[in-house]
Amino acid sequence: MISSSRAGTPVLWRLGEAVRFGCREFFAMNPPSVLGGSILPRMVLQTLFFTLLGGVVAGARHQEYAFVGGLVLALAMTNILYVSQVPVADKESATFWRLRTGLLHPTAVFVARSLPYPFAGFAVVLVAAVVVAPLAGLGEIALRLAPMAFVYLLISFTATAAGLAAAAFAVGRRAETLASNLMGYVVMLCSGAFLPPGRVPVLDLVGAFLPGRHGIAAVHAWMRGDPWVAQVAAEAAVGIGWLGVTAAIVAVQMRRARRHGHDDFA
Amino acid sequence: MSERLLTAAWVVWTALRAEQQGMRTRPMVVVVSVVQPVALLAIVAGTRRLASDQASVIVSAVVLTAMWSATVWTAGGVLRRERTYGTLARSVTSQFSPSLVLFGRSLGATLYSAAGILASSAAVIVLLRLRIAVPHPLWLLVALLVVVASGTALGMLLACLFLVTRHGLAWSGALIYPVFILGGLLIPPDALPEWLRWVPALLSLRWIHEFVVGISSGVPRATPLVIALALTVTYLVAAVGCLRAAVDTGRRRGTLDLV
Repeated sequence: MISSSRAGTPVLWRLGEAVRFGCREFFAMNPPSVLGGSILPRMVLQTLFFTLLGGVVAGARHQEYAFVGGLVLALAMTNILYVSQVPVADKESATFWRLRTGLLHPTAVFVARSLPYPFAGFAVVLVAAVVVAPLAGLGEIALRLAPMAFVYLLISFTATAAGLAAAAFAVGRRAETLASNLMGYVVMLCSGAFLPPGRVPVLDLVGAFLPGRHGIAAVHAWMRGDPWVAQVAAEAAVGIGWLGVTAAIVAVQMRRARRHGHDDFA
Repeated sequence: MSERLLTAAWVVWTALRAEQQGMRTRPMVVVVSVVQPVALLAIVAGTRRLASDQASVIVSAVVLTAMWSATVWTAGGVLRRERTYGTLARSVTSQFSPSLVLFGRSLGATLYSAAGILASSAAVIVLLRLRIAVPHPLWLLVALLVVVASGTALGMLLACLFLVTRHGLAWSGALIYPVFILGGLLIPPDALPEWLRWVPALLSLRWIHEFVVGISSGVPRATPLVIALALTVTYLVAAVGCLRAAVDTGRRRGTLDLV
């Protein structure tokens, strides 16, 4: 039974309210001082580190390769680690039962509340590109990458979807820090951001299902003048797949909560 | 005299055990001591084929880089966590010296992290079939002991620095990549701009790395090890002085748990 007088309001309005709440929640947990003073410098320095490391390990060509991938690693780390704040907020506030009994499906609420994260991650990457490229002497590469900025935005969404799945899976066991970091480092290892594909077959296999892998391949293909649209489509499919995983995990959590009379998130 | 020494050893041992028991429940320990070195070593060593002496240098750089990260997040956070748990005042105003308690905790954290880093690095070495040259295993053992001593002293110093700010957690995150870039480990000093090449000399881990590079080339040189030891002693003295000043100030103002 629905007691709210807004029970008959359209779904789109409800989703809009969830997005609006998500934005307020995002800025409450990550105020401009944290975004500008902690997250942004960290990600800029991380991108600079991997770019320089690429040059040290395998020369100037690999430095360019590592710059293209280093921007994706900044995205992956920002989105995968920080989007765990969404389910964690429900655990800490003991509000998951309210999501379970709401009109919108909890997965829809999580996704709506997570929308600020991909945009914040993309903004971080834009700043990282602008700062790191001149420092590493890669200004020309950064300019060449500009038309492919939409691929980085797409990877930002797929990374957020994967981060949400990792956090939703682990939050009930108080292991969200480990799960999110693990996902971030697996992406670092398997996405081809630093280590080019074809070196370790197992990593290639795992990487095919992770955010970033196909997007990075698309960017490199575009820079070489090869076909790249199929890789972009594969990246989008990976993101949709991770959203499906999130929905399945949340459904299992809800079923367990109903059957056992407790909320995993609470 | 011997009774005082025994008491001091008991304090250090108890603090060490307590810290290590606490570390078993913290997921961040697994991240910095296992996941990070595995990922770093795999991407760096997997990028190109390495000769045995190059592999030794890369492994040393990755292990020491991971050691810095682990020191910041584990040993460096000892006093910050005590304040969060509300046990800081009890720890630093007991009948035993606060420096001794901090030393024991930092040593416990460093040993635990070092074991994780070495074990996970060894696993990657086996999986990637890296050929490592160790011409002087005894000198390598000495280097390892200096790493533990240096990590302990650095951890104590960082713990004291994080004590005088409300934003210790933010500082922990902020300190990682500057040292990754400027520490002279994975990015050698000559890859840095000339006006920044003095920075790596301030980090003891960079001198230990230089010592290991000497070992792997077959010519161990004592100078880098002596400099690393001198820096370790400097960190230790600075940490003890900083802790004493912070505790005295906190006790005078009655803000020990509220800094």
